[in-house]
Amino acid sequence: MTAKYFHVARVSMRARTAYLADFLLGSVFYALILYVFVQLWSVLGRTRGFAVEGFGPRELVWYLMASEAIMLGRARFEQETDEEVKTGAIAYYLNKPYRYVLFKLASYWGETALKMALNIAIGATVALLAVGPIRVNAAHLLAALACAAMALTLNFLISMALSLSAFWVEDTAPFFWIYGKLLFVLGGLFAPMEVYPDALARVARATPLNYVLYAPARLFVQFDMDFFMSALMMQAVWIAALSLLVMALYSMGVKRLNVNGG
Amino acid sequence: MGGAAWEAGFVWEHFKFNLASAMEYKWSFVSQVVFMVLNDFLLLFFWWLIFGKVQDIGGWTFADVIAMHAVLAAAYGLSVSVFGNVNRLARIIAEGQLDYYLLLPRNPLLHALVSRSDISGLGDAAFGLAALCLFTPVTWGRLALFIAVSVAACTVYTCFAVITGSIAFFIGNAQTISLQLLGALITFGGYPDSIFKGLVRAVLYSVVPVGFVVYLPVSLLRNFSAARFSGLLAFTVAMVWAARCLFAVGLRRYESGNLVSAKI
Repeated sequence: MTAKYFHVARVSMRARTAYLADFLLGSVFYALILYVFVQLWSVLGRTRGFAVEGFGPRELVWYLMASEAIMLGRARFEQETDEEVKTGAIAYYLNKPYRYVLFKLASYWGETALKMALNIAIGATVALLAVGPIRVNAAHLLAALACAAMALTLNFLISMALSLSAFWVEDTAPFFWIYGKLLFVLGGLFAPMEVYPDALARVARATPLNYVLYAPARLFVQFDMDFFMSALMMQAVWIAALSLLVMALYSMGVKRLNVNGG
Repeated sequence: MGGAAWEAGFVWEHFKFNLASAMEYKWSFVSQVVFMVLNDFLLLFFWWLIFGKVQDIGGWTFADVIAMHAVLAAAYGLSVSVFGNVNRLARIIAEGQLDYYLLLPRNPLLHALVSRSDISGLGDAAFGLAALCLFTPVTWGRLALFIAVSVAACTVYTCFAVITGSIAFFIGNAQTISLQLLGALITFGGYPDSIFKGLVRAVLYSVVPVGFVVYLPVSLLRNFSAARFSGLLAFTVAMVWAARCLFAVGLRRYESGNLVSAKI
């Protein structure tokens, strides 16, 4: 039952490696962002009045390394899904021996796993050269990776729900600009929640967005078993709720499907 | 002068046509503009957090950082909304799509650039103006200066994109490298220049001209100087000349494609 989805993931991964130079060049942006923030945090670290509880300039750089690895490691399937819905191409998936959403999830994970591996390698190299190592042990690293895997699945479900809105609206791209910026604001892309004013941090923690970036990045930099358990539980709750939403949107959407010609 | 006015009229007519075409899809048009404005305002959030803790970053205040984002957004927004193919030039060249423009009695570079509009750019330009008026001290003189430096910055960005896109004449598929260079300009342009030192700072005023797209315009808005303003204008003229020359040299190496397509 699941073998075919593993195969889809493998094909997706191999498709990305077909143009290796292009794929590697895509990571230049990630290295660039890290470089800019190494400069910014080191200037701020020397500025009087700038202090973040539990995070020095070194921890802030490693936090960004982890949060950006996830942010830029996410496979971007939304434009494709938007097109498939708008052009009616989604109809061709209906009679195939797999479920559309699971097919997309498998394809997403194939590409994401590869991009994440590359981002972690590049990010760790840049951070090591720029600010030196942070203390992390293997068990904590595995826990942070598990949290990151849940985070990326959560991101898939949010993106899929937004993509499926193409059944009702002309263009879904603006939703993704806003989603990206909300990840930046409420997800804690550039800075951990510890930098935020209390009221805003409370609002952010009530959304699924900070479980996409902040939770895994913070666990990577500052592991805490209680935080790990609560983050994992909240991720599971959001994944369950969003899975139901995606299923509902998909089944309502395909009923509206109207395809002419072939 | 007559030629420049003629070309400006050509650009304006294309822009009007592209705008009318985009407005046919009302939700798409409105959502692209409105959501882009919102998207850009959210960008300021990070700086709001940082400036809640410090007074300045290497001499840059919150107002300077807002002016920086305003100029960058206005320059980029004007560029992609008027010259919508600006970021796709490398692909157009590599895929042989210039054939269409070469057959017509117009400047092929200008024609290729204005054939498309990225409407979300209007949201960027609107954000630039709104952010400057809402969050920084504004007078008629400062507003006029903002428009002048944004138009100069837009010209520098557009010419830099033409130069990076023209690499395709020489190496073939240059879309990735062109986008990386343009991405580097936008990325660095979103942070104060005071955090960069040494060689990187020199690169930002030469190879990747962020200094002339963002930093110099912001310094003029902060403290106007006729000499620095003249320097910005001189660099802008030099970029126009360099972009046109490189495109013309590259065009001699252009190999027509066998792509059959109709443009209606």
